Amino acid sequence: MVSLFRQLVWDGTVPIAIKLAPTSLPTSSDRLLDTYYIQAPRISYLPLLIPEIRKNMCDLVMDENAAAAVREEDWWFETENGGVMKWHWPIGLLYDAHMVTAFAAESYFPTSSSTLAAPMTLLLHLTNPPTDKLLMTPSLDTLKSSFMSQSKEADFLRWGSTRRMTSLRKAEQDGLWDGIREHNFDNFWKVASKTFPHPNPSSPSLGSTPPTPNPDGSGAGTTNDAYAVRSVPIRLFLPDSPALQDLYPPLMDNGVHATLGDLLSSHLPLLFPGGKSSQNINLHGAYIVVQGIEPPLDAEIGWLGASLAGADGWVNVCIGLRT
Amino acid sequence: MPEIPDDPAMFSDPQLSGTRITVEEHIVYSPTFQVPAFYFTASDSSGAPLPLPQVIRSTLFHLPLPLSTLSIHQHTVDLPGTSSDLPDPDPDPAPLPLLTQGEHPTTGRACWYIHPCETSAAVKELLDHRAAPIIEGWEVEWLRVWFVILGRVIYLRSS
Repeated sequence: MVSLFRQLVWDGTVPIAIKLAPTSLPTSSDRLLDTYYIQAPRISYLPLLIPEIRKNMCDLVMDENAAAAVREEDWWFETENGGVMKWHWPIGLLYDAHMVTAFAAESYFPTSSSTLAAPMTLLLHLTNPPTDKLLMTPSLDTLKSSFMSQSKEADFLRWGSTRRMTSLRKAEQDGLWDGIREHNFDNFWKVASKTFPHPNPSSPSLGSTPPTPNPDGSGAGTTNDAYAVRSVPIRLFLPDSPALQDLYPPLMDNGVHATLGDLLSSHLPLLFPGGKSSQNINLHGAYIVVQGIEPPLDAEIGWLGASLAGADGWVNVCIGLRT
Repeated sequence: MPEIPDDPAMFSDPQLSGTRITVEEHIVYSPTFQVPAFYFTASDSSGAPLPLPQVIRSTLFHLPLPLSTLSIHQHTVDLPGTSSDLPDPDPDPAPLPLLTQGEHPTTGRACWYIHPCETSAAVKELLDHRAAPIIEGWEVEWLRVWFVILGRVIYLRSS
């Protein structure tokens, strides 16, 4: 069951419409090719799309001299209302965060099944990146080290140490990133299954006392048990705000599996008032998006951490408002 | 969330032909590692961010290790990796990050930061060596030791 959701997350894509910023094009360019559409994997990153964009768009609209002079390290993307796209955020997060902000007054989700998801329009600039807002140059090395850093943070949150990640051989660590670069599910999960948690079928049920995890994370004979982690790596994104991050244990004090509803009502009580009667019903208009879907509020966060996390181990929850 | 931005400090390194750099320092709580972390930006006189190899060689740093032992990349500085104590250690162990580029947790700006993953252990080690156990005010003592450790790597002005 976990593999099914991991496959779904891996295969998830979002539509992006890329337009060249008018100021970026030399006057000798062909301006008939207006927009390049791409269906981008959610777990991938913008710099990994650059070769495709270059080949199918830039090289076609520019003459040879202009195309040869282009420096990919100066490229940067922004939304139509000026939001600079971060290199190190997974594309799925960029899309969800953008959509909940851009459509704050309407529902994120199409009302009829025949309506396709709206593409996120990005303006591509080829020069003068805003160096205070963007991590410097989207080189593959920087991106890889940022990905590894996020993965280790997730590892640390779960187990209180980064041992699972750091004890991977360098070839295995490289294998994780190569799996993302090549978009190869099997190669990625061959290594990731050693570090990601599993929702163990023998996890404590409602009302029973959970086994105490040992300091190194192994406990009760189960390793990588999703319900034995110290904290599930979750970040909450409100529109135009820094990410909210805290400790989110998968079990409540009484051993009951913590749900999304529990987490949201304790951390954002004004948006998500608590109480059993408000599970799945939100009268205040706030809604959540994870991997492009609106999960039920009684989804268990331990399970989310194992099944719906991004490739870097983080469950990114975007919060929006309906009118 | 404790955040203590310092005033921008001016440093000059004669080896960089009198280049003046502007450094802005922040101490920010890391929600993942649950310790304070040291974040900073460094820019030249035109306001452009300083490349990492220049940053690490500036007078902002006085490192306990020779520069030659560090892996200085475009956006990270790594300490040499140590072989694990597994029965079959990797002959090419992965390096540990010392200095990395990242997003400031509240401003979202691009900053350098000292990786906080080893902070807790380092502070604990020094605290454990104290003659008498501290009971009251241990948080302040913890922070003092944190500054001692930071001061081993970063030039901290005394005032």
